[in-house]
Amino acid sequence: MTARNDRVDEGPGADGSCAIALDEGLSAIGALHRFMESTGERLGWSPRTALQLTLACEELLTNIATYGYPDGGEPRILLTVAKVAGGARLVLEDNAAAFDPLAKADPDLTQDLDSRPIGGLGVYFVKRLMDELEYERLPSGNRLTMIKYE
Amino acid sequence: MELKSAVKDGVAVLSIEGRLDGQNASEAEAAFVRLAGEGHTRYVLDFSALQYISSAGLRVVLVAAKKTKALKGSLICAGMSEAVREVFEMSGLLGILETADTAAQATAALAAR
Repeated sequence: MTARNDRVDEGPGADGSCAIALDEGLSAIGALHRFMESTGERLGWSPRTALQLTLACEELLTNIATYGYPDGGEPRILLTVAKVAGGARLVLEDNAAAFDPLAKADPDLTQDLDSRPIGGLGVYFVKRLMDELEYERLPSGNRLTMIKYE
Repeated sequence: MELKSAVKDGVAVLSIEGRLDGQNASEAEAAFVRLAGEGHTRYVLDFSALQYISSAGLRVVLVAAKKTKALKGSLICAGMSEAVREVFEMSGLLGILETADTAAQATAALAAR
């Protein structure tokens, strides 16, 4: 387990995992992209997998930063990435308000231009892009564990 | 992300290059709003140099498409790479947006309207 207040990309941990603190929310999206690119190269992801995992993480980070702290507070958001047999495991932990993305209903994608709401796609993308998702509400916040197979 | 705008044959072309993500989507939206403020009704969003788009970027496209429709104009999304197209596909927006293979084709189609 990596310290929660690390500001920069970690080198591989003992188990080969690496982590990045995303406390700055939307302002950390650029850093997230660079981290996912270097991690993908190290773990041998295909360009398509790297893009899909980056997209899923950006969507979740955007949600946490936008809706997770309605009463203020200091965000602590940590992403840990590790290799597992045949794929990658991503764990996103935060100290935000409780939010179970698995409980969110999928959007209606068949609406025409006029009735199509703006937004509401992020969590749906995560569900589509990941092969396994597990949500836990911990005393410290939310933990979402995601597995993606190549 | 880099933004380039041009007007050709009465068609406003906004090229969005690089990554359109949650950190810069508002900048892209502002660029479209500026173009719309010039009174155009025909738009091409040129994605030929776009490598990545997230739902924040799709939001900009949807806002632009709704605004164009309200102006009784037309908007074509052109030049999507396979990676970008896949995200549009997943969102269901491909079914309600007009697309073209290249910005040149889109511009020619709109110039004829």
